[in-house]
Amino acid sequence: MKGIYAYIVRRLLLAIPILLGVTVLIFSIMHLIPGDPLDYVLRGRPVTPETLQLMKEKLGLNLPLHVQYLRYLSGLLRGDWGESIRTRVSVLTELSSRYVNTLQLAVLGIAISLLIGIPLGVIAAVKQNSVFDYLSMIGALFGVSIPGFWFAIVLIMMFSVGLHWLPASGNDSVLCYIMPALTVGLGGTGFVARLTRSSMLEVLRQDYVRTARAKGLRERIVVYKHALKNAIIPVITMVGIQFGYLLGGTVIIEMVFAWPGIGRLLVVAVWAHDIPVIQGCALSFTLIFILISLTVDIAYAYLNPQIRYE
Amino acid sequence: MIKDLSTYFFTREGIVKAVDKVSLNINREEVVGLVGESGCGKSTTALSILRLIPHPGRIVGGNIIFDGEDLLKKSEEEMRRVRGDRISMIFQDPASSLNPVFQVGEQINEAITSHIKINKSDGMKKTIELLEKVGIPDASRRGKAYPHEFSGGMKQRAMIAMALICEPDLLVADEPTSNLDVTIQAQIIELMKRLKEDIGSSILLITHNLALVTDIANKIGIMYAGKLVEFASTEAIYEKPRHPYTCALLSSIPSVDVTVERLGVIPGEVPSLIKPPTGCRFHPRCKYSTELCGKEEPTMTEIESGHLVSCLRVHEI
Amino acid sequence: MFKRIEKAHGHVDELAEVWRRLKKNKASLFGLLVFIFMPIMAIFSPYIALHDPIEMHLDETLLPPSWKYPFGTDDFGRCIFSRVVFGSRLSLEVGIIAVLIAMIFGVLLGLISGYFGGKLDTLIMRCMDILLSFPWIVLCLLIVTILGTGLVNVMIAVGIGTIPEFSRLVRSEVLIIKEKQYIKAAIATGASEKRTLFRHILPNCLASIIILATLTIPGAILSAAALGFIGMGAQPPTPEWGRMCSDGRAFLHNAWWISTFPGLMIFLTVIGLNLLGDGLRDALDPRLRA
Repeated sequence: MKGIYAYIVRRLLLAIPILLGVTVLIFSIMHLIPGDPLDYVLRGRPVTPETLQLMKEKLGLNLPLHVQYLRYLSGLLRGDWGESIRTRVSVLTELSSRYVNTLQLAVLGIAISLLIGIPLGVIAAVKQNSVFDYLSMIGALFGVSIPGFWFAIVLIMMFSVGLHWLPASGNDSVLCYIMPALTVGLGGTGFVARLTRSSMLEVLRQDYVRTARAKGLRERIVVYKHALKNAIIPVITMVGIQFGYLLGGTVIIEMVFAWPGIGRLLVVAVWAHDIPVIQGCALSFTLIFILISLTVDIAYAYLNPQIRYE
Repeated sequence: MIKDLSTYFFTREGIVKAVDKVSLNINREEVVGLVGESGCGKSTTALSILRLIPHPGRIVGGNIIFDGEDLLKKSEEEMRRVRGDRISMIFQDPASSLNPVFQVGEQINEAITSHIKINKSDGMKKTIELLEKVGIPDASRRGKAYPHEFSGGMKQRAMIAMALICEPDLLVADEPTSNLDVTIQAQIIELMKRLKEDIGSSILLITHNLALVTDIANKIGIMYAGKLVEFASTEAIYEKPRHPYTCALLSSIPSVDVTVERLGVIPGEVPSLIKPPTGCRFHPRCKYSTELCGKEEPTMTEIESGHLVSCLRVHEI
Repeated sequence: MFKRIEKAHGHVDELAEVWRRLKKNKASLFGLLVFIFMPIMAIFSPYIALHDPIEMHLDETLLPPSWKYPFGTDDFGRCIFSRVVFGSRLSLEVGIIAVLIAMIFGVLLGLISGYFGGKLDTLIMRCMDILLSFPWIVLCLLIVTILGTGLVNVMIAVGIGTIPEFSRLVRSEVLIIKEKQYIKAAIATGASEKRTLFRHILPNCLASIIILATLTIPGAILSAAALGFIGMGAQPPTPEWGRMCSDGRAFLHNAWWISTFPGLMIFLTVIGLNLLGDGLRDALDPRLRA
């Protein structure tokens, strides 16, 4: 298993410049916005020139850009992520009370996608052209094509407004999780199912599957051990990217269901031009995403031994 | 014993008669070579024995009698028990025939643990023994390696080990050396000879290379366009070939002993198996063909003991 | 000269084959229908719609679907049907232009990156990686923060978010094509780099690029609608489908049609385009079918 440790180290080293690049991008938002960054902080409140100067110095806006960036970076590492312009609460505090909720949705989404999508795809491939195959692929297509927010609205209309079974907002009870989870999982499941099916079809045609049958192995073992382990590789590769889409999806879903997560925080901040919060949310999302991608890549290297040596 | 085996493929363009009423016998501890051009149906015959014909193909007729039982009448589950245990098969491209995500040793071990009541570690011991027998050095370490770490020749040796671990009565080898270097080819054939003596299995060796089988085979069958045209002992084929196709094949092999002006060439092309020529399938390219050859299909006749030929004019030429 | 005719003839044969296979697949025919119907609806909106999309009929607010108002009216008395029809223009525009932006920049970057390799390649690919580290909507929101809201900015945002897909595709194609003999021959006969890139390498990537474009347009439409839903896109009274869905949220209990029909349109459009994309991909690569 030597190869995999080297691979992990290499991947980690690769992730660092990317992370830095991300921080540069996020940092530069402040300065890319047309107008003086100070305007957003002040919001048109009249201040004396002296106060203006003081604020400039405090925020370090008079320093050269790269120094400002380094200040920003060191602030991030120290845990000083700024203060919300809107609520005057520390950005980290706002984030820390919310990120768990978003993670819950995202993880639920991925779990549903994989737990339902993979078996669906495998069985559809094994029973190619059967009724099951057609139905599940049509379902998968629907899942991929439905606008998440619309699906959520339809669900709310049916189950909250119409039947009064499920709550339309909040996250206090387990019932609150059902509709959001369905919505998050929908697109992912469709995607995973389609990918698994096409991958499985490809693998089942391979010579080594024929060898497995020639060895006299039970069909179940041929399909679920020999074929699946190979077919799942492209699916795992995509899980990282899938997670990115899912995270994006949670933003919308949090808006529909008034879910208290960092997605909703981000949108509200964009409406209010609350730069520090925007930056903080963007950074959180990216951090989560990069971490998950890393984990997925390592899992991929574990499953596919050939990749460890590249 | 294969009797009148017919395997057709039902495609959109038509029915491909890949194997049409082929019969041949393989006795205990005998090596039979099945030779023919690409597309003549030899691989399909081999796959038919193990009933591994992929969609859209189907075995439509005949019997395959193995040890007194007709394999074609067995259920799928019974067939599964036969595969790998009493009849094994190795394929043409060892690189794609081994599963890239499992260790080689594990794949070989699987072959034995799924047939005989033996636990994993005992199976591994046998696997390593066998790996050494097939000539893979440092077997216990190699066994833990993955297929992409093996060279082509080694992969094929591993495949042979996988096929022989249950000591089958019959080994079907479908072009086992065609994808390997020439030097390795000879080694593999030697290996197969040795193992045959050791384990006592019969071998059905399929190849397009007639020269390859001369060394190892006791009997040779020549196939053309889905039909078996001649079947005899190796000596008989070489010294007394009776079917025009066989003769033509032999004359196209360069030989060290005989000098010729030009190598023999068979004019024309291999016919389509959807619409094969009427009567004898070889008649359009045969220099001895007559009108009758185009109308009536020849059947296998025994001209001498153990020498069968399928030609209408066999007694005249 | 004869070579040109032969080549063209070969392409025509290929196209005919692809067309034949596409026709056989009934599902992708539906996609084709959408593909044809949508632009027609968009272009001929004024003739298809029954009322002016922004005209308010304040005495006829929140009416359920009827003959006069097939999709009902909203809280300002506007005809939902007409708004949906006109909305197709916006959604189509956004989808196409966003993908065009992504295509132009992405293909360029991919060509440069794949062809020149080395440090330039690494730099460009790292930049793409950085872009890809953001979940798409976060990236779009950042861009909207900088540029402001509005349909054009949404186009730019979605476009920028899709650039990495194109650049990666083109880059990997270029890496393969670069090694082929005819490219080396072209260079040996003194073709300049620009000429090699555009006249020799690019045409060979064209097929994949077009396929990717057809596959990404539905995604772009969905993303744009999502951004519209959270208020980042076109502002009222412009009839944008995503925005309309959001506007209808206050009336879910008494006027379900306000949110339902725009969303349905998005759904049908995206499904149709996806089917077409699938069909196209299957027709060009028959191995994956039954």
